[in-house]
Amino acid sequence: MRDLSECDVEAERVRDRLFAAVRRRYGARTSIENLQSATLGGSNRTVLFDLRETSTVRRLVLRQETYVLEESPFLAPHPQFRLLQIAHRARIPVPEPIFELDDDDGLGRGYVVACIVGETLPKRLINDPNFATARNRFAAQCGEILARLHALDVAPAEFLAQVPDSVDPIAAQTGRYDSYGETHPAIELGLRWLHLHRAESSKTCLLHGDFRNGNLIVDYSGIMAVLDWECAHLGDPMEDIGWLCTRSWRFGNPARPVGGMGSKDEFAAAYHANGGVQIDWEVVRWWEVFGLVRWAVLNVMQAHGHVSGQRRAIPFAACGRNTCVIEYDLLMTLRGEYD
Amino acid sequence: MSRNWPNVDEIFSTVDEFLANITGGLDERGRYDALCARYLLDVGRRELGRGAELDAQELQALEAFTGESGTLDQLYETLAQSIRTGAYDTQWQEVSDLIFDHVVNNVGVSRPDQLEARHRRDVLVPNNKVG
Repeated sequence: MRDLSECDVEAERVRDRLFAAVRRRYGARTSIENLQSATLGGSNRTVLFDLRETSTVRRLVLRQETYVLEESPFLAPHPQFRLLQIAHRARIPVPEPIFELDDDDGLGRGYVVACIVGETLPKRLINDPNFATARNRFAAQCGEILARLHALDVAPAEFLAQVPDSVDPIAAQTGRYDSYGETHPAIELGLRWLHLHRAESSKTCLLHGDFRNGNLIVDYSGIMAVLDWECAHLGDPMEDIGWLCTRSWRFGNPARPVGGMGSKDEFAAAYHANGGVQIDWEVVRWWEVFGLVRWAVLNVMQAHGHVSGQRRAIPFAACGRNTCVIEYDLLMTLRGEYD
Repeated sequence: MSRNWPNVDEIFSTVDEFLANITGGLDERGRYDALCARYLLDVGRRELGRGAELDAQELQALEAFTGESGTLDQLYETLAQSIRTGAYDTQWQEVSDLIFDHVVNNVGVSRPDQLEARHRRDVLVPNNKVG
């Protein structure tokens, strides 16, 4: 985090317009305080602030869209906000949606949600002794949350039906990969393997699409909230499970396939206990391979954003050179040397 | 040029030392950017050291496998197109081995610490880890 008072003119502009946006909605006696800009973010700018009303103070989070290119794999803020409303109503742990930005706010597209305090950094969650209890519960909590999400009626989320990932996940990844114009034989081999071994879908559900260690707010007792709904779509529930277990999200703890913290058995027990469908681990493995291909493509995307000048940043440049590490995991998995 | 001091290794080291020295005074975002910058410097140093040699090896292997000639980029592009059309479905193991060697070379330049011990070669520059 950094104090916005140390930042640039753009930060001042955001502060002034956010202040006006809050006053338009909550009255002239409201104010905003303690603004902080959160670190990094693949597709959004995140600003934390206190909303002070007459006798109450609420810590809130502004999420502004920053990546608006045609080939962006991320949902626009409006459908994200609708999904947060759906999930919040269903008592799935998400930050409470507060309000959506509109044209009069002059802040572009985005929304404001409640702030939930906790940790998201994967390596801290995996290694810090203070999170021992949370680690022990992690796989089971993931199973419970995903079972409840996958049980939701799809109808209110039908607006996701035309998202490329809902229509054909392999074609969606292939289309994005092609749009970046960089040749990666390993990604091509992964896409071909996925095509040749395509798994049958058992059911169509609302999927989070990026449910993994790193997108979950965790306190010492366990998971507090599910963040980052910009990859949500409709599809096979095994996809969310495969992504959760993808080797990249084990963060150096491969023996613990559920986010580097838990076992598949712990996950499955909770998933089934909360109404989840029967898990086909062979299908999940297909989705884990898919996850490695997808993560490699996302890293190519970050490098493309940097090299093309559309959003230059040193971490995005580093992502480009991280792609081969994911390709290594992918090929080791296809060779049967990694599970 | 290589007889002028500082030589390219010394230039990389100097910039890396500078980044290491200023990191402590940066905020969280700045520290992460500096870490990424140091990582990229290490990638650059390793690529300067081994890149040309690895490219030559890969070109030779690609020409032998495809029976075609061209630049490395051209041959990899052709290989990728052929994989997509299924031309190598019946030579899956062979094409997989070829690409695996290419990926191991790339990881050896980008993140040698991520390779299994049996795939590691001489690591000239240990990397600053990111993430």
